[in-house]
Amino acid sequence: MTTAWIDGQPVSTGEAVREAAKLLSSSRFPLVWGSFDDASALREGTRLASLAGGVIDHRDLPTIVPLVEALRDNGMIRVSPGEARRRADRVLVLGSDPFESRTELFEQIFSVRPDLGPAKENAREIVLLGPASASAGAFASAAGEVRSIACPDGEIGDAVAILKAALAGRPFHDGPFEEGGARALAGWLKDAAFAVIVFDAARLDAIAIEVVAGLVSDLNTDTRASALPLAPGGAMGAAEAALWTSGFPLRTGFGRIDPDHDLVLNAADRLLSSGEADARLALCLGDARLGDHDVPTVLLTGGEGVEADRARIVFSVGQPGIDHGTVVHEARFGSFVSRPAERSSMLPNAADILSAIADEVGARVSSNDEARR
Amino acid sequence: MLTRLKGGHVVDPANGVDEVRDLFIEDGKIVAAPTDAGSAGEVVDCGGLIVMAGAIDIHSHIAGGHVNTARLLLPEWHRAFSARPGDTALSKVGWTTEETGLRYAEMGFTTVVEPAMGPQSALHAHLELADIPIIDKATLVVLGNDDLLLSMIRDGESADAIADYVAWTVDASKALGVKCINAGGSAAFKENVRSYAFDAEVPDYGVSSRQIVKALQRAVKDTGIPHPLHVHCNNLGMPGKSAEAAEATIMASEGLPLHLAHIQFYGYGTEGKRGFSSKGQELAALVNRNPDVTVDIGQVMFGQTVTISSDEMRQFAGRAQASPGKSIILDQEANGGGVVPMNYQEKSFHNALQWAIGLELFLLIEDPSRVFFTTDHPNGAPFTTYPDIFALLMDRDMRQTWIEALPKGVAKWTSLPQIEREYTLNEIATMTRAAPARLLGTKDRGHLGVGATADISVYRPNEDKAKMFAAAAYLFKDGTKVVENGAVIARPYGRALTLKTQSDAAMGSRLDRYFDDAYGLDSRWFKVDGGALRRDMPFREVPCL
Repeated sequence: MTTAWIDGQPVSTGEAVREAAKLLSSSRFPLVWGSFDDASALREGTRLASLAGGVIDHRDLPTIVPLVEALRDNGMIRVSPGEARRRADRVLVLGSDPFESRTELFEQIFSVRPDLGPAKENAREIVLLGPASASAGAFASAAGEVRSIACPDGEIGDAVAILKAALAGRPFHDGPFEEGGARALAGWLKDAAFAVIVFDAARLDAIAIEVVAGLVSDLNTDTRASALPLAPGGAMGAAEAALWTSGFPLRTGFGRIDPDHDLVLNAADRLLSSGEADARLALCLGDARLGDHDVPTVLLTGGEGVEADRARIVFSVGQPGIDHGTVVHEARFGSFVSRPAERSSMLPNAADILSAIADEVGARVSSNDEARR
Repeated sequence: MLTRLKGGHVVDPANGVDEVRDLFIEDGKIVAAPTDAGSAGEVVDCGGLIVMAGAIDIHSHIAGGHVNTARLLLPEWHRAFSARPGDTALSKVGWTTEETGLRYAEMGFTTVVEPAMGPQSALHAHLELADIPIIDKATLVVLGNDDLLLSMIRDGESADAIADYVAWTVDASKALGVKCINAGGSAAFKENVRSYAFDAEVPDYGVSSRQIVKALQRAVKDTGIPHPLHVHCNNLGMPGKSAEAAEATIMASEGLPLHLAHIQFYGYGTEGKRGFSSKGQELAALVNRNPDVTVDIGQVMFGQTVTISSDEMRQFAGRAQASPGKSIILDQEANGGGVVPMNYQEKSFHNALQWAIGLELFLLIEDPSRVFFTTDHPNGAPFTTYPDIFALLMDRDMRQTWIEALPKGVAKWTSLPQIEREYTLNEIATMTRAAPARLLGTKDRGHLGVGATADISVYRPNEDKAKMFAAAAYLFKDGTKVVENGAVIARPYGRALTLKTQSDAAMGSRLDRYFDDAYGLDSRWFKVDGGALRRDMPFREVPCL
């Protein structure tokens, strides 16, 4: 079974690894980019980027950038889904249904009544602040009383700022609320035994997320409340793994010995468009594609032959969690879980290929260092 | 290959050795001297050098969810993110798993315990540990705010059932011991309780902190876990109440071993116009009188750092002092926790007295095998400050110099200026080698007897003790030379030390149902699979008692 090609010709894995290492180590500033949902692949990918003096980025990073910025610059009081399930007697849901593609998470939190804390006998009360209607979508089946307050997605940040002002007794404009509505909703949060404010972190900007964190912080002066930002597990897991391997939550460059964290400068698209990245390694699983950029490429692809003609060196790799075991960030658990392979497969693990290329790049770097001495 | 460490001054208190002699290493172990010493394939000249076992740190937050959150919260202390890189102890730590291994090794440390691994964070913690090179690692798993334990105590379940639950958790999370952190305090905080003492009850459960600590202390013993229950007491940092909490916990040891973590943070009284004074002498005397109890210090050193703790109530209260002014607090199943940056300032009366109280405790607790060397990294200070702390313990004149730089009012509120004791090398070796190995039940290390794991640190004597301990002349890990003249020359991966605790199969089935029913979680997620860590041999098993 052939799983590696150079210029379209089948080769041994070892040969392709050496060629990939040659390409990446002779590059000025290589980009390592792609579907790094599997923490094992991310760990090896970071090692490779670091040894090759390049950049590492995740294809879905834009979905977590606002949350990363808000956490980094402001902080937050936040809650795990499991604890929200058991304690949250009042839940404020921000924006268009954040659980739209998160059925399991929705079930985990909303299929039961809270059973811990002073409000455990009460039904859960849920307020949808957003375009969604209380009778539509998943919330129709929530175990609790649901009502909605109409608010366009673009005004969620303002609406939360109004709640914050109402809570503090400062003057405010009614915004999307009826007269007296903001004060009533702020009071409703304040009188909760344990209020949770949940939102899709990809739909708010960093400032809006900071305002939510500010409201939660203010509520905690007297009562208990916590934020539950929802973020895609793949990108979040990659950011977590990048934090311990590089010190930063991704978009990290290693061109100047110490890692450089910059969400804008190190964005894959920008590096490719500007020509700063003169080679790339792309890990394309699922629907990930290379895009329009024309740059010498090492492709690790999970789909048979997908875009193989656009890369100099191609490795066919297995699907994490299907062809081989995987380590992923599980939103319901709020941490990493490992999952075994679902079937026996001859396809290589992308993490192993990345590791082999990193070893080879490392050997080249040290032999160059020796030569210079 | 046989390696001979020739002519070093061997300081090995576990074996009563304090003299110049050779050591021999083969296949990663210390071996008896061969009949022909000249048969060694490699000879390392240790003439004039001090030879000790590799140092062991029993309490340092080096891995897991909260540590990673601190990295997220504080990129500005990473050199590259900082416009003007600060030469601070924290920036020297670096922030990555790799740097953690390298910096510890350079100082001659070979085993480090991450003391606060939440059961949910176990795989995450072990993934990080797997990426820390050179040193061996271990973890303590945190119980004592978890719904199941509190419910079991409330419902009067048997000690056997509680021991089964503890055994299952230790085995699943691949831990070396158990810690409880403000037992009941996090659970109470979720019900909006803001201050919580040893005999207060957790609402909803009607169970006190005392009951939780006693139940866990017994379960640890019944399970055969060598390391005694590791307790982070209630009311950390609160003048008056902290000392009361530590005293109540010490008195509750009742003939069974108990370890109290970072006791410096409990040595606070309420005297003086600032309402903040030292209880160092009283606490030290209490420890001296209670031989069941061991403590580590959690020494404060000046400079920027970050506090990382699963004591959610305390971290929430500490938000007000955050510097820079941002923090992340987590409500989670069981403990939760928080990350709050902190800048301990030499010119602050409070911070200066904290520093003095830590040293008082170090110096007034008489038995160096019952007091352990920690800063509660990074809570009191980053571990890169260790060389300075060794120097402060070994050199009274140096202490005096430091004291003179403190605010004028400090000296009269502490007995530190009057304390003449200077730690000897032998006492340092007891505190950082022999005693920690005994406390953890890791008999293969902490000493240099025949059969011990060849983790050996070699130092070049220097009047400046900080210089001596900052850079090992050599470090051997499992017999491989990994550091030379303070610089890492090889970076093999060490392993995580684990226990194989036995629990009744019925507990496994019960927990499968419990995690699903109570939290909608799969119990398999709590079990750390060594294969997920991508190391050839990620674990090394330590026998239970």
